[in-house]
Amino acid sequence: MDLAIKTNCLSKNFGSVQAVDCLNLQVPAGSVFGFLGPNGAGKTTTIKMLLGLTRPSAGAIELLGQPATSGQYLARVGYLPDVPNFYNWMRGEEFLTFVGQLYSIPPRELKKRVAEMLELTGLRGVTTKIGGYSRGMKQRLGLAQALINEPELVFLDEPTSALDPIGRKEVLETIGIISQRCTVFFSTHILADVERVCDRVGILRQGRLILDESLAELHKRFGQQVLRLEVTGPARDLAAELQRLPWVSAVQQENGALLVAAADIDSACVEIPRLLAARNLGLRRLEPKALSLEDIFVRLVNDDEK
Amino acid sequence: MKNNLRFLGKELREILRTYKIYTIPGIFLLFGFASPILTKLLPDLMENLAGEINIILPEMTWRDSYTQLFKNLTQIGILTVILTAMGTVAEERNRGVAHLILTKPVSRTGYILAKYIAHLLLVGVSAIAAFMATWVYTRILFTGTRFTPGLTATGLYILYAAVILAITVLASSLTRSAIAAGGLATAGLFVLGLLPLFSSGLSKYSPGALTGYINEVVAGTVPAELWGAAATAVLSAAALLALAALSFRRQEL
Repeated sequence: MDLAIKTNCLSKNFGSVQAVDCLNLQVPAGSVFGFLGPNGAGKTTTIKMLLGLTRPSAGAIELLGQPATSGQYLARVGYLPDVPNFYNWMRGEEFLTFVGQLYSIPPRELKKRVAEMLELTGLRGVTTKIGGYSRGMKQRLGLAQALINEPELVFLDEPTSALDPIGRKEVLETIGIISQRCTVFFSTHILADVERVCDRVGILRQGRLILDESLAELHKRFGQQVLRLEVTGPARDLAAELQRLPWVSAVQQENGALLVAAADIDSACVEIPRLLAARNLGLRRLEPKALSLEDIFVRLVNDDEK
Repeated sequence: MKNNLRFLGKELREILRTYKIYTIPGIFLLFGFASPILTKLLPDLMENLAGEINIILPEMTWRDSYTQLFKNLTQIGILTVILTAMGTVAEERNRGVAHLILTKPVSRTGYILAKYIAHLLLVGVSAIAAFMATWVYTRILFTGTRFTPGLTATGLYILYAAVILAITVLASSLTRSAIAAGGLATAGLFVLGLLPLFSSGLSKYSPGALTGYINEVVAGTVPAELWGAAATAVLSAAALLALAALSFRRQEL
């Protein structure tokens, strides 16, 4: 498997505060990697280390097959900071042209790319100076400049956190488009955004990576552990009875149904109908419940706290 | 190298399209035009202000006109330079623009040098324009006006400003706030002014001695130590810039 990003026990401390703690990241090339974590988990510090803006306290970084110390990878990556700021006296098109020149893109090709990026980000025809842009427009210009060099790897640091629903939808759609062309490293704390565009997720908590898995595997793993049970007839005391069974770890009521967290799903599928029959209850529905990423995130963070 | 030149081009465009194009050239030109006129009118002004008191002033010459210009440029002019350049690195870093640019193929040394060179060009062109304005008006208002002493003094002034600008860029690269950078640079300016007091060597060859030599050149003498002080100024500016680049390269953004 080709890796776009590989870190080996990457760490960063600010005095006595361990911001990033022995991070071993492996981001496959071509993936859209959702880098999740609560505020202050160390996401931005990690991105800054990956981009050479901050020196790691320990560990090694390899980007696109090159050690990060070389700095040569910079021409092949794009970066959108969490709060992008520009030269306010420039116009959007002018800024993109300037950035493109820094990548030594030939003038004719650059003109074409600038037009493409303005079109992609909905900024075509905007002639006001950047100083007059709204937050959403700045975010979109930030996205455009991150893509102007046709990067193989693009870092997006919380690109949707400050946007209204329409701006967020537009940015997510753009990420969907660019994910066809390059690896996307998408840092966010908005779980719905990750579910929508990412195919792989890493969860960072207090500087430690507590999960690194594909979204499909994650849903499979956690979805299979919870069964949604609906019965006919009076189901009083059923929850307490289920709770006493050795393979049941938790039972919870939800909209007239029971959510049964089972350590052994196979046993649960055999035992639950038997139990219901013994109590003369009808089985209306018994199915694995697909947990939302939010449920999984909260559970993982809680488990990690314990 | 090409990218450093492109970045320098951006810096020059920024100067042309922001308030910077009005501050330094505006103030320098004001001094350029006003210095000869003020010098010419000074005896009359003093006489009118003195009333009954009889003040005898020597007759003003073209040298006094030049002296007035460089007095203004080395005082308020230099403070204007500091005020204009103090945010050049600090503000971009504070606003996060530096993060964006330095993740492109731009070296941090090139970034610092481009900012310095662009501002030095602005100061240099403004100082020459100010001198030209003074020269034209001095020729009109005074007899026997000579060009070369003024031009030499302008060159020395640019050298002095180059050192102050290097101090300002260093201060700006060390702090995250333009105000703090301005304070630091002003402190540097005072230290530079105090250096000649510490030893006779420093009084002759430190960059701060250049302000004295500017007046001597205008007065018609060329001190032997002048070129030594000029060389020290060039070396000091280079050392300060190297320090700025080195510290900026080591900094975490």
